[in-house]
Amino acid sequence: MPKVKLFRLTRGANSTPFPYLVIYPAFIYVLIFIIFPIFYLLFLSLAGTDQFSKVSVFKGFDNYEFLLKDKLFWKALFQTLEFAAIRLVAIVPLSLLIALGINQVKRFRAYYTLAYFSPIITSTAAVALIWLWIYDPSIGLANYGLTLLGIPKQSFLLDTDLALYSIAAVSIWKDVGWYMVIFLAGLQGIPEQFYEAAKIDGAGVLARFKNITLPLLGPTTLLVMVIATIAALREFTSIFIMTRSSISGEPGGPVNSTLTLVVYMFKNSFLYNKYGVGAGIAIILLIFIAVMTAIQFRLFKVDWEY
Amino acid sequence: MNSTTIPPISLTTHSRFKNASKSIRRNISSIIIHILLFGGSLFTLLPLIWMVLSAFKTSSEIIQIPPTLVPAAPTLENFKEIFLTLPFMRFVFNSLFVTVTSTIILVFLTSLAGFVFAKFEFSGKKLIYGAILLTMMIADEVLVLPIYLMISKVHWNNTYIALIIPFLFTGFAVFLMRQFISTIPTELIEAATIDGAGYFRIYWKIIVPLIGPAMSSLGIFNFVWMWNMFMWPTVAVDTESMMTLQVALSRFTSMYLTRYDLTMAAATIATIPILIVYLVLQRNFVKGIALTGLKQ
Repeated sequence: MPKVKLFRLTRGANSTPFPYLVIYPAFIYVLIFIIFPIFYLLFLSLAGTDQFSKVSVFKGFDNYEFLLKDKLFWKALFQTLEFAAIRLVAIVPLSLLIALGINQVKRFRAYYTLAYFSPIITSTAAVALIWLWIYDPSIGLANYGLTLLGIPKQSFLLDTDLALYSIAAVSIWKDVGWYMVIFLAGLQGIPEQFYEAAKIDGAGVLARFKNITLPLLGPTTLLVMVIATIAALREFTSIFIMTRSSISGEPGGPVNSTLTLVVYMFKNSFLYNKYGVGAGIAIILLIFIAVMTAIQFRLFKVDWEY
Repeated sequence: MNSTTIPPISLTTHSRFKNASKSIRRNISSIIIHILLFGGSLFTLLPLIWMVLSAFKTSSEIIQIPPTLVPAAPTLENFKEIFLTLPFMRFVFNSLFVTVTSTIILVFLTSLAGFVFAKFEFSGKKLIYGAILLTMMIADEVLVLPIYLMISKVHWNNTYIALIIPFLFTGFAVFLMRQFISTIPTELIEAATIDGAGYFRIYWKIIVPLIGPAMSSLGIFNFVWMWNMFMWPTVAVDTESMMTLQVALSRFTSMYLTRYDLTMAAATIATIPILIVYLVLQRNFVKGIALTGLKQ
């Protein structure tokens, strides 16, 4: 009787050990490699390493207090937000414009998609190395381009005022294709009839864009903004490779002008061996990213109900 | 042949005239869009083309001002040098091994778990699925420190296990797989159960073939994430023989300073695997982003 089988499969709670054999080991893995490390991180952030015995001792909120008074932490926090903001301001309109363009044309679509996507299918470390060369003050392409335009040479990554912007530019260049694809999906979700109806009513291209495309792309735009912010908070590889000092080996320079929260977390954890401070920054970062991700799920309507 | 359409017959010269000017205007705007898109595409594409071409330039040509685009005398010296002076083959192997192994295991485990979450009821399901979904909110970067300390405790530093084990199961992958498997009619599974097939056989023979596209989407994403993985291998591994390609690339800046000829050869090699995966599975890749909108 098929009905009995269906009943068994979907509702017969203990009729087969199969789900337990699959899920319980998997859940143990999640407990060990995701859930336990979070609590461990929380513990580390409330502890300090004893100078002599090298044993972790409970210190309460000492690390957080230290961070609150730490000028570098505030600088890193501010620069992280600045980095995210620069990226957002450029990436949202750029990727939208490219998506609008590709959505309009019929020919060469595959070429355009590949071209705008190519930075994403390049290794992140390779991208950092290419741009390190482009930004090279003496033999880089960027300065060559500036001299052709009659603009004085810049030192980009070595200039404390320009370094963060230079890295943001690379990050924008690399990710724009990603958000373009999300916008493209959003555009293709707008029913053609809306435009047909507007045309019959005599609405011009601009009116159609303003009254149909933009409002209907609202959710997609918000989604892109949230994803782009999360990506900015997590950016590490390019900053690490492009700003690491060849003398001290420390990333985030010059003079901490590209220090972001992730970089500061990394430096405390692995260069200074200040686990407590590193863990404290990690917890703060975790909260930021978790909040953004929660918003993203809301926007994407992840169904928590089943 | 129901797609053939009969061209509308213009009744008056006036309307024919109007249509013609309209189509000219449309053509002009389409040409302008093409010009803009093409210009923009050069901007994203040129640095990469430049990287590949520069890998074949001599060390003197590479520092030449004005810079050249196409190598004047193409040479394989740069590739020869990085493969001979460094264990570069080993870096490539390490990266490929870690990426491929972890991706295969992850796709297998998460699709199996997705199948169970989609089609079975069992005690603790709600709690466990909820907990797994919640882990999607955690960024890998923040877990690097605690997992590093855990791995150090069991002395797994500088092993493949250390490079692979934290990345075998993610909430995002389980979620994606469950979504897809939910759309498969339960009747298909029932029919197989009547035939006496075990649940694992059903997964293997029925579910896997049906979720092929979703599995390859997830596989490509994971391949690219793992290939680009950087912070974790930087701390988990410090001997040269265990370095992944990305970690080795990051050392190039201090090892060779401004030897951009060597750097570009290495960067080119580091890009080839993702490029191949993309070109082979292009459609699933782009569809996958549109589908999930998520970025790990």
